[in-house]
Amino acid sequence: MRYTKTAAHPPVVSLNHLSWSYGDQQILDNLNAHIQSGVFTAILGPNGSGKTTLLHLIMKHLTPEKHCVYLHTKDIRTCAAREIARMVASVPQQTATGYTFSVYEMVMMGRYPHLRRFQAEGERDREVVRSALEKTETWQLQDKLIHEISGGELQRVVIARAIAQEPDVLALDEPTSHLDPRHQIAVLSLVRRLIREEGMSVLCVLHDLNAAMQYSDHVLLLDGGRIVQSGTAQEVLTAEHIETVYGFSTSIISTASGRSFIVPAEEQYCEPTA
Amino acid sequence: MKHIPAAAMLVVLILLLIATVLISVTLGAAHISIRHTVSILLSRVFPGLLEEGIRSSHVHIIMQLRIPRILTALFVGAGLAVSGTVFQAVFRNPMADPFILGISSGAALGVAVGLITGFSTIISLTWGSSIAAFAGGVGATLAIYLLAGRSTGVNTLLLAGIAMNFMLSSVMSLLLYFNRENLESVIYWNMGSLSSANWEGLSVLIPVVLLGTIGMMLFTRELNALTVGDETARSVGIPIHTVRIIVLMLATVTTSAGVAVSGTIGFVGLIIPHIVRLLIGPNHRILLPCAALCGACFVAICDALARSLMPPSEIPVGIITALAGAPYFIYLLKRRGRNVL
Ligand SMILES: Nc1ncnc2c1ncn2[C@@H]1O[C@H](COP(=O)(O)OP(=O)(O)O)[C@@H](O)[C@H]1O
Ligand SMILES: [Mg+2]
Repeated sequence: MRYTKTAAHPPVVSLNHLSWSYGDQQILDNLNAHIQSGVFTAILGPNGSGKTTLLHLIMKHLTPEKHCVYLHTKDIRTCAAREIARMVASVPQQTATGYTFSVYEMVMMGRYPHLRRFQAEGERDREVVRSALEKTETWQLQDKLIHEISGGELQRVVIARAIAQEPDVLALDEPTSHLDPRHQIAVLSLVRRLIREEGMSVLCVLHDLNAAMQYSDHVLLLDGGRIVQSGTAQEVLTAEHIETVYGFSTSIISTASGRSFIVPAEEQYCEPTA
Repeated sequence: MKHIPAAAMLVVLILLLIATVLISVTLGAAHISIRHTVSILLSRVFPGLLEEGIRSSHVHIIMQLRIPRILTALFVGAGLAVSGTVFQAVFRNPMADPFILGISSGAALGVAVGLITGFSTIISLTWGSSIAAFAGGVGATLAIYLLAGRSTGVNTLLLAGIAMNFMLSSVMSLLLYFNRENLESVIYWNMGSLSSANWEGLSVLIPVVLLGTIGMMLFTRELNALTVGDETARSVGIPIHTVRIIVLMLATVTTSAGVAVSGTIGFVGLIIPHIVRLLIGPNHRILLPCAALCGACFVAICDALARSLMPPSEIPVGIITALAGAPYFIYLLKRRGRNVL
């Protein structure tokens, strides 16, 4: 019998005819997809195509219809918030930092879904937090206050908090959009390492098509609330698909080492004014 | 700024509390020495300890007037400070406070309606007024939460609070206008005064404030995460809407119990949490108990001033707290652009 990956690893998240409307404005229209475990799934699509809404539905921040979203084999409608937080940890688009908690306290908050109301944080919780701080290279920041650190550092701290939740799935919403190039690479490499070393599954909204090309195993391309393409990065990110969805023409350039890069086609450029 | 260790802060506050009680119990028209006072207090527990020569009128003054009044000040202050802390965490706004948002006015209106309609006398005046206050407070909190709960702007919330206060105080004025015979006592009570404190009022106030505070203490982790942000709180598995409603209701009932016995004592829930947070940091596990102790001392001290600044007449304690609190509010408003939390 042929060994198939799907059979060995049932999907961590399944979407069945998932739709969502705000009032009478339809945002998501009949999505069907299986997010495989242990892979990097990128969610791409223009602004307003419903990517953030999709992530909210997968964590029940918005409550979907019955039988539309499954975590492992369980209908998300039947899961309590804490139970979901042990399966999916989110790295939101923006993290407010109103009050002056320390980095360590912030990451310890990730232990919430594992602690009962009267249970104090124990040795194992401190161990998990220490390891999350080390993996994200934020160990040396632990006593700093979260409003005192840079955007790139904060993003790593938020990821550390998510790791401390020991989730099966990490759901990141544009984790690199406020970061300089070095930190963008650092964050995405960290995420890849978590897949490799921890066996986590990653669901990541990205705007950078090249980042999706380099880092993702699977791409869901959204447009107007529908999944218009689903497949490997090479299959989905073709000049034709990009033209259709984003409305601009591109060339795909392959390097000698076999990597592909997406660049805007010649006619997109204007002469810089002198 | 470096924060003070929680244990040190607790010790200081407990000492301050003891000092406040001892000093304010000796204040008043009748001169009763500390020694006699302590003797009277100890004799409640060990009846043999009552010294010879203490007048029974003095025993009455201490046990029926001063002690109930001080206890009322302590529990009202503790309840207001803890509630203010919770309001600030839930609305993530350093200017949220039951008084400024009109919650206290809602409770006060409840009490006034209860008195005028005679509802409050059905059961007992104390319980009737308290229940009427809970109803008014809960109504005001729900209205504020629906008006401004989802928006994160400081301004929306404050404007909603101002609107609420305007509306409730005009309804209150209208009620008083048509019930002029009750005018003076209700106005006096509404300004915030502890002068009618008694054991019967305490029999409602103490359990409600204790249970409310313990209830809010059960949610310290949730409050911490909520103060960082809704996204963080949701992400770690907190059902934010449910938790917010529960803690707001606990805070509202705690505040309203205070309003029922002492009217609207303003700004305690604003100043105390803010100062305590500056001193010991934002962790609610220590913030809530410290705020409770600090609020208790603050109201007891203000009431001691209210009783002794202009003898023989007495100033409503709400005026004293407002004199301290309003400038602080303006100061907060001015530095809002910076990191006020
Ligand atoms: N709370 C909301 N109420 C109404 N409409 C919303 C709300 N949040 C998002 N939308 C709308 O839903 C659409 C999809 O938004 P979103 O999922 O954030 O898109 P993306 O993340 O892909 O940019 C947008 O048109 C947006 O205006
Ligand atoms: Mg988005």
